[in-house]
Amino acid sequence: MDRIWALIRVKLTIVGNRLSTGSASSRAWPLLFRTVSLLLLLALLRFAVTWLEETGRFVVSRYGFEVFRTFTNLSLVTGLLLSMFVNLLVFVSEEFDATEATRDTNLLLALPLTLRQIVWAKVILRTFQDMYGLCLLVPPLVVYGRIMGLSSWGYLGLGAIYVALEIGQGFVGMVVYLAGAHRLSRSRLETFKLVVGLFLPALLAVMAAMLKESVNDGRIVDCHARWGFALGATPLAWALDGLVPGAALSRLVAGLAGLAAIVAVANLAIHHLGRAVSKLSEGERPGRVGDWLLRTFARLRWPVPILAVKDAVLTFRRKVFLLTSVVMPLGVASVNVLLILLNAGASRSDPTIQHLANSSMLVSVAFIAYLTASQSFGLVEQGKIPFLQTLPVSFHQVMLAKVVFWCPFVIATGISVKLAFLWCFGPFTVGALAGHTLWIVVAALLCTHAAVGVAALFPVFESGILGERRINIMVGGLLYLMVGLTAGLLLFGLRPINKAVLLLLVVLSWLGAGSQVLLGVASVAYLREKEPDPAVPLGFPPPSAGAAALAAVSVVTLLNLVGPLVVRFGTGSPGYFELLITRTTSLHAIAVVVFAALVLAPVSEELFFRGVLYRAARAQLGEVQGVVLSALLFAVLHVDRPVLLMALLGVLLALAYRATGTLVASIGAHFLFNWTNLVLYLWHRPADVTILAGLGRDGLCWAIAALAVPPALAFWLVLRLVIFRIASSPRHRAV
Amino acid sequence: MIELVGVSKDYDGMPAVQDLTMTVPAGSVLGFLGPNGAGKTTTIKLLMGMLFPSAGSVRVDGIDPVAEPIKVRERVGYLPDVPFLYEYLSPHEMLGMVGALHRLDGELARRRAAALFEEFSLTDKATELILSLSKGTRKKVALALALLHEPPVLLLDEPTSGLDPQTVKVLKDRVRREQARGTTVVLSTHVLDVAQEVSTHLAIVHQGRLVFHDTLETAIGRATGEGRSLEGLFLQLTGTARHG
Repeated sequence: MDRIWALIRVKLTIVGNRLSTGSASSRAWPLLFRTVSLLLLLALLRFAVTWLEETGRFVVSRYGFEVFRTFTNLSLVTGLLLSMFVNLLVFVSEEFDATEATRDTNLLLALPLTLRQIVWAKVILRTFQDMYGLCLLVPPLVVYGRIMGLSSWGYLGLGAIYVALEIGQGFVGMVVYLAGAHRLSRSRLETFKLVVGLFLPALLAVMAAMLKESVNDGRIVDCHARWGFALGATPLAWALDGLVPGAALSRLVAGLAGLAAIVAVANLAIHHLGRAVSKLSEGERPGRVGDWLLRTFARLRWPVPILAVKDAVLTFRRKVFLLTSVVMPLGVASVNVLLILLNAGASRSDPTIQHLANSSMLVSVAFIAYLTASQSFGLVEQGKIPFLQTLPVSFHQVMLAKVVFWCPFVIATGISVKLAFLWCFGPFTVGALAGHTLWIVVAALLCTHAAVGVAALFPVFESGILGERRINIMVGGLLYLMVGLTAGLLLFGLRPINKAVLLLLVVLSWLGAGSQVLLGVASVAYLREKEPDPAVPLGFPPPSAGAAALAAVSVVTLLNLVGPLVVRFGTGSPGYFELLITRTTSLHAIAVVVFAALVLAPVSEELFFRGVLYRAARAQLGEVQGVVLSALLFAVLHVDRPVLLMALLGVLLALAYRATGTLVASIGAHFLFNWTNLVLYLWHRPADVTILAGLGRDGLCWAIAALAVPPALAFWLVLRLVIFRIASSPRHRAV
Repeated sequence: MIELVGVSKDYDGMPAVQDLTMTVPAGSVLGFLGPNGAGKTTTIKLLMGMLFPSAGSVRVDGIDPVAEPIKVRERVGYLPDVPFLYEYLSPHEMLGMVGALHRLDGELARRRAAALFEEFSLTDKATELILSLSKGTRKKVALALALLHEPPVLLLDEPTSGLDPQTVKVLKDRVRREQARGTTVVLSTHVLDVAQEVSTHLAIVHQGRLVFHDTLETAIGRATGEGRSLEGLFLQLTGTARHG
């Protein structure tokens, strides 16, 4: 026992040193970020559900709606548990992953200690560390709890769940979770669905995995298995809810049998594939695969397919990846296919059957996208993005390669489910197949897009050695996420032509500033769908141009006065925008950046954050919550800038819109803020700006005018000629 | 040619490199010396555009790595202090991939890879998974990766650590040949003998500041220690003589 305490003391000293040298921020940020991002994700989900409910779209996809509602009605509990599970996954894998094992456990094993002592020391220490983590989690939790109207009992319950989950390392926590879910959920049915549908099969899966020696990559695999099969079991919960016709008991039996079969098949598959792979991996020569690979590399001339092929080979040469990228999608698809086949005798016109088909596919596609993409940066790259930084490829290309590689798995999963549905219920025609395939491809692209964006963020935060590039990558990742989520909102019930347009926009976003265009277009599309005449609530054209202008000028004046005080609490390094504009010598690059910052960003971000998000959040949650939520999301998207300043800007922009009743005020303020910052930056630090170096004062004035005035005109034209028009509903004009 | 003008870099307010101004002429070999933690690796990462300078500007082969990192990486062969290789690829496949990313012709990449494997005695290991290779062998693979696209600039961070004497000899010969070919080489090391044997210029950093930068001859001229070796100069400039 004294040795365990000695170990803990050493570890605690290390933690203490980290805290006192300030490198604790590298520890605090991942936790905070992960939590906040998950909560935001849930807030967005809730928002999506509300929207579905309001627009009556659940008639089209009531089944998917059911899934979402189950999640979001229990959003706090589920959300926290999601984030805690992710934390748990990260903690456990951090503690026992390959690098840690070589650096830490091997070192410790060289000392006169038993493995049992080391493990206990780790578990006890982790509990301490998680307490620290809990302290970090509290502020966002309280904010979220407030928004969701949680009682004080709820908070207490959450704390208990969290601690229990961490101390119990899973199983004990699950028991407490069940009690917590029961206490906090609104009906027994919800509790029951959650318990049986999510965790019983997961428990079975873990037990099966533990029995099989072939899954020996430790708890990482274990946790992934738990997750994967839990998610794959979601349809079981629906079956129990009576959504699937037939007797509940027979569905339960069928579902459990299906899961048991999948677990068995999965283990068997892993075992055999593993043996086949180990012939390659255990110091043997890669042989023919290697020759093929070399020929392929030599033929491909572009970084994206080269990186995608590399990902493929690395994935198929490792047993762990086989589980997550091949077996798990197969498992999820099989559960869904099984449920469809069991209902083959039912009528296609039965709405339940349609819901089953749509939501099965949606769940398969969305979850598999996330699970597979998260492997990509964690296990395939082993968090070593710095290596990619030494090669002549951009991070954008790396992300794109991941999307290209993982997407086929996601598409295959979705299509297999859809095929089963068409086979059972028809019509099994070329036209139907083509239409559904397009749907699935678009959905899969969007989901993988968002998933890769999220997945990229974790290693960026985990590895402290990335340096300032992390800002670049974070912004990229967040943009990917926003693009995927925003466009995903539009997927429900769109006609094929609109799906094709969305697809085109995704492709555009890959090419550069398209993500901002997409954000704007998606916002306008949403507003037009939701409002009889969106021009009225948005205040297009402004009821009083003078008031809008006054509000815009006031916001910017106030912010520029307060800014220096607030900035002191934020990051000290220049933002991505400043870095680009100061360092580049390419006029084209500067033009794109300036246009994006002065024209696209004010319009599209205001349409989304104030026009869509703030208004929806205000309607659902209340005035203050609406302002806070939209401002927080706005700040998160601008991670390369001082967070407080951006949050304050978000608040002021919402208030400007609210006070004047027109989005023109906030768009104008946003534009003015970006514009004044650009001009001030150029004016005060011309020596830093490569292309301005050597200009006199006069030359500088002209250069600033050339850089800042045309975008200002373009901004006005875009607002006037494009946005006002497309935001105005044709229905309204016809009347 | 490499230029650093007034470059500073700090991590959360802790200065790692301070006001570094230095030019490495094209076709020269700079021995980049300094005690552990002096800022050598930070400087090399600044040259690669993996870190941004807090102040000052950097040019590698005339290109700003902050603005155009990809162009810089096309022109630089970089050996990191701790090389990372995909363990489930073979050296052959790894070079094939990196060659393709540098847009080398397939046949050319194969020939160069074969020559590099021959040079670093890797031929019999070339088709094994990197997973099974020893630390020194991995370092040799990383060296081959840095040299594959015949870059005009080589940044080698501690290239000799973990290598056997035979390979150190091969490396030194290679650096001399690269210099004859007109390649600019920055060789960060704390093995003074290696620096003395292959460098044309020397730079010594200490606590983030450049304390010496001149040709090798001048350095040896200034050296005061036994046998007029670099060791005396190094210890004198880095202020470690009186402690040790």
